Amino acid sequence: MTILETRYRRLLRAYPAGHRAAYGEEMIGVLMSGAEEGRRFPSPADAFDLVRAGLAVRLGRAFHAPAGTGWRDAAAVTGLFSALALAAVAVGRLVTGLSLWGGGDPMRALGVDGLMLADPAARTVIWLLVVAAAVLGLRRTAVVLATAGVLVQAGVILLWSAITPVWAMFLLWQFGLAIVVTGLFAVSDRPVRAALGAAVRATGRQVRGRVVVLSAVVLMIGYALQALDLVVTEWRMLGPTAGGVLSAAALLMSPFVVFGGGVLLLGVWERLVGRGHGHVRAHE
Amino acid sequence: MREPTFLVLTALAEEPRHGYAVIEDVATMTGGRVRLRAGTLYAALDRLRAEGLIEVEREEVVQSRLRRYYRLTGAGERSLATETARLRSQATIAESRLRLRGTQFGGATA
Repeated sequence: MTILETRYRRLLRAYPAGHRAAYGEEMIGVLMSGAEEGRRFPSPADAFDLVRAGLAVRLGRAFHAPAGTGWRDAAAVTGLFSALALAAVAVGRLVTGLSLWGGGDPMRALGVDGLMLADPAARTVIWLLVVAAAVLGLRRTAVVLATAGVLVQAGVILLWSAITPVWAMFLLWQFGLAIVVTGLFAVSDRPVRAALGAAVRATGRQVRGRVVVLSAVVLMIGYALQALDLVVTEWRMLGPTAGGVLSAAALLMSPFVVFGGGVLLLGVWERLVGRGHGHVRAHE
Repeated sequence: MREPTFLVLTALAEEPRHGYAVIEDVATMTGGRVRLRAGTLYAALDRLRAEGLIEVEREEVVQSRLRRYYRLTGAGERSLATETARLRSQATIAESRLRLRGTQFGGATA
């Protein structure tokens, strides 16, 4: 293998493995036919074109995954989990608020008795509705209700910023997750029950793996948004200090480091497991 | 339909061709204006195959390199015909308007 071919092969790594298995050898043939005598490095334009097209295939697979790759089912299941989490947080708040109210606290805000309960009550109602729609298999309704959930989350942030601005920031992560839940239901293409069925079946290993990956991403987003509001609140009170900047960087970077490390580990593991299986030719 | 797609279908309308032959034919057809790069070509081929507009005709190994020949399917032929008609009608409109300008204004001013 010439050094040029090795370099082309390295560039082809921009494509997902399945695509490489189907077209890799053929593309190497085309690239080598097009290369003039004595060339040692791929031309920058060729290199750019390969990386762009390779990443486009990866992104395309991730966003409008063809049926059967498991991503859409995984999105439905992860959407349900995330909506359940938002509902659970809201119910917890509502129960706390109601018990305070029962104990004689007027839950008074902006001069209105009980207004503080409006926030957890609204969130409880909307996320329970989203969960109900998802469980009943009403996919479109779940998308619409989750969109309403985004508006509710934005509304309660506004409400709290009128009451106590510091508290409003604490709801940022829920607003982010509400958008994520809407997106997950929107890309799923069948009711959650069917998706769950696909996931729990013995052959659903791929779907289960993707649920884990998507859940990790959702958790990462939630964590990063919480870290962000912590940092913003701290800076508002104390102003930026050297220690503050450092801890902010550590806080915001850690989920990416953990997630990136996890993906790297999985990659290494996959390679070790895959060793000895030889090359699989995936074309028909 | 984007231009590379149209050109790839046109190249395969003549005869089944392998990847590099498509690149060369497109370059010839366009007088060297369009030289498809591998990433762009295979993005088009993969999508056209998925849409059923082209299919693999045969495979060959030449000097230890895999060559896959693609051919136009019936659906591909219809799709290319539709696109050609669309382009022609647009070109006709543009042409007649340009001719009209020529007679009205005696050519472009400024």
